[in-house]
Amino acid sequence: MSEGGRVSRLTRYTRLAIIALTASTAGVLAVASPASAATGKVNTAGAPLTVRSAPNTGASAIGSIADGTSVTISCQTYGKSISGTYGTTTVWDYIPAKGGFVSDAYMYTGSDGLVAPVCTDTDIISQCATGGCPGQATYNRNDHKLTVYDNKGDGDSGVAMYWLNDGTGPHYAWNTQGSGSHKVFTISLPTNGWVFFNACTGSYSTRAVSGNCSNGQTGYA
Amino acid sequence: MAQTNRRLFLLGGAAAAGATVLPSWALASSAVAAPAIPYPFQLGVASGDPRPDTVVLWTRLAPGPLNPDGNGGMPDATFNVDWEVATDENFATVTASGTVATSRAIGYSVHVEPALQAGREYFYRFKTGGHISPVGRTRTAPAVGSTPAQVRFCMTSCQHFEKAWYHAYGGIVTDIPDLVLFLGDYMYEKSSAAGAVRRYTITDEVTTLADYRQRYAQHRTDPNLQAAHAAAPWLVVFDDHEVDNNYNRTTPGATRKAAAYQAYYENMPLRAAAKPSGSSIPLYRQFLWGSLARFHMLDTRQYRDAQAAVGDCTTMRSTSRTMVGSAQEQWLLSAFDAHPATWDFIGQQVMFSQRDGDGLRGSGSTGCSDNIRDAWDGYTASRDRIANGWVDRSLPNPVVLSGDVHRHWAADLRVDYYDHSAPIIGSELTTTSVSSGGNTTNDPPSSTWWSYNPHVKYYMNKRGYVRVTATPQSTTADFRVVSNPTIYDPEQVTISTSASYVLMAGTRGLQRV
Repeated sequence: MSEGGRVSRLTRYTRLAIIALTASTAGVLAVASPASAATGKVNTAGAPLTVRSAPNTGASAIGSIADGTSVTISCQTYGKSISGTYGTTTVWDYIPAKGGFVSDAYMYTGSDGLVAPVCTDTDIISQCATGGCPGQATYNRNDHKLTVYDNKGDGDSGVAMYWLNDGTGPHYAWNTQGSGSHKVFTISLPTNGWVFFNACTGSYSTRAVSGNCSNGQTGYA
Repeated sequence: MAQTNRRLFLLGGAAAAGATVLPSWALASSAVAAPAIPYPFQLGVASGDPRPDTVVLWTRLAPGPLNPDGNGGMPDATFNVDWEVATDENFATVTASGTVATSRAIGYSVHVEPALQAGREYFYRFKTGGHISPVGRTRTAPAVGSTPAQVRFCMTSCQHFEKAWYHAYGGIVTDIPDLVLFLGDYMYEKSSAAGAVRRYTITDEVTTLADYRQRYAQHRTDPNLQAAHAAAPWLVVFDDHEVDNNYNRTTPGATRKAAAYQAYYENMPLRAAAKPSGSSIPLYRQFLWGSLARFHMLDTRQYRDAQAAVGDCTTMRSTSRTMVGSAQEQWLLSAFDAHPATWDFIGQQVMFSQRDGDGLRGSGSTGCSDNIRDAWDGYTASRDRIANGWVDRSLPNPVVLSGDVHRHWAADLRVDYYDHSAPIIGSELTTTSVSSGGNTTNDPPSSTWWSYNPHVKYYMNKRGYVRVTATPQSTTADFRVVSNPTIYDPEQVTISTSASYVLMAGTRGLQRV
């Protein structure tokens, strides 16, 4: 971890203390994610930072941000683990001006943790299996596509489980193409429909899903 | 600030903590500025507890019903929900309307009790944030003293979400009943993988308010269940699984009971009078259907003593033990003093009639190993007080309605079941489950068992419901069965009547039709 990382950890603890204080005053449980957008500064030591359609290097590149640029981060999510200027992290930042995600490993935010709310309203939402995101699933509201990533060469496949508004589920979306790959599934949703999905890894041959599934999130039609 | 409500406390506290903690709309005193939400009527609409002057209208806002935090994808704000009641399906003639606020403290549930006319069919819907709900059909009870020619109700129980598809509700919707009675086990606190046709998103046992809210929401995602709620008003009571398996007055603890009861109220079309207070909920209640029928909806869980030990006749027969608690028992017996209706339907959870496994009365602490400890057989003195109570008060036509056992049963009732010539004092109709138990092959008891229980007339181990038609002359029960509830495609599933029994007013005893 770089010098910046150590400084930012201190900042994070200070921030948590503030949240705990305000939460107890308000009589509600502390919520780990901040309530409003944050600002970050790209630091890549020269190269432009790639903006991707989903929080994974396997997702399509949709633009870039020059090194040293300050940007607004409207929300953050978890995705493929990336090592960069500020260490290794699974956090990705959503940049509304670009309409996509960049790895938080190259973004100076003053914190190793989340500085903006968890993404729920972005067109693409993401779920990560626990343990550093070995399996990942993203849902794109624009085209109802569920993309399942296998981020780790651990012998297991990436798999998403999903439930639909017709009372069925789980349905399984297996990506058996190996580490570094992704597979796209189209979810058939009616008007006003929803899909609730999580991300896991598992053994396709036995159809056994590991106990590392994420908590899950709702994607809307 | 003492004695203030939770919402005011939350908003006041947040304001004191500074405007950066919550967005501006959360601080507004009016819900006009509530944030935009995706389509929130994902759990459908429902109605319940019809009276001559009102019926409860229900919905619960949940754009993302399965979100693990139990909040259904709703932002933490107050939302105004408009409601409308009309006499026609197209809402050309709106007879009542209004606006009600809902918030996180009540699980974004909406309960409305509009002022309506007696004995009428109505249609209702809700609107919020530019979204409009599906339309529900409901009806009010006939006027007191009126003489309805008929009431038709469907009754069912036990709908483990994972175990089978809810085809039974397809049959209920087709029957167009006046009422639906749900006799308990609306949801299950535990997951069960064996033979599952679908799974809970969270398979851990539910214990907290967030857990219970999320679990109810998952059950309510079923389209057949939603259709049945939208088709008729329901009379609901819980059994054990809405809280914890085989629970009783002493366990589980108050915290879990409070969470379970709060979620139950939020998810059921119950009157404000049934709101829980901490770890108690006032659930037992009566309904009158003109001079034709009276429904006594009992709570056999909240006040009951713990189960006796296996075989313990002495405890099971102890006169100091109770199934319903002394207050509810007195309330029920007092109701038996008056006879305003031809039929008294006593809707409750566990089987009332005896099921004798060995032909022996048994005695002592080990002689009753064949007794079903969780049902009334485990609380015989409590059963005797109620049965003798209606005999002593000359209740004209008592019919006990039961669930719990995932089987259809029809039985006559006796004061002493071991005396096979003792007079019949009433009858019992027990409904099978919607889904719990999954697909089964019927497995009737042996001829020896039947010889021990001549008061029992019918047994069927299939999924389904019971359709009851009561007139001033008779009550007919059609035991409805689903061919195979684990097949998803309704085109490949049949729902049929496996047997029908009739009771004639003024005459005791079930007769097979």
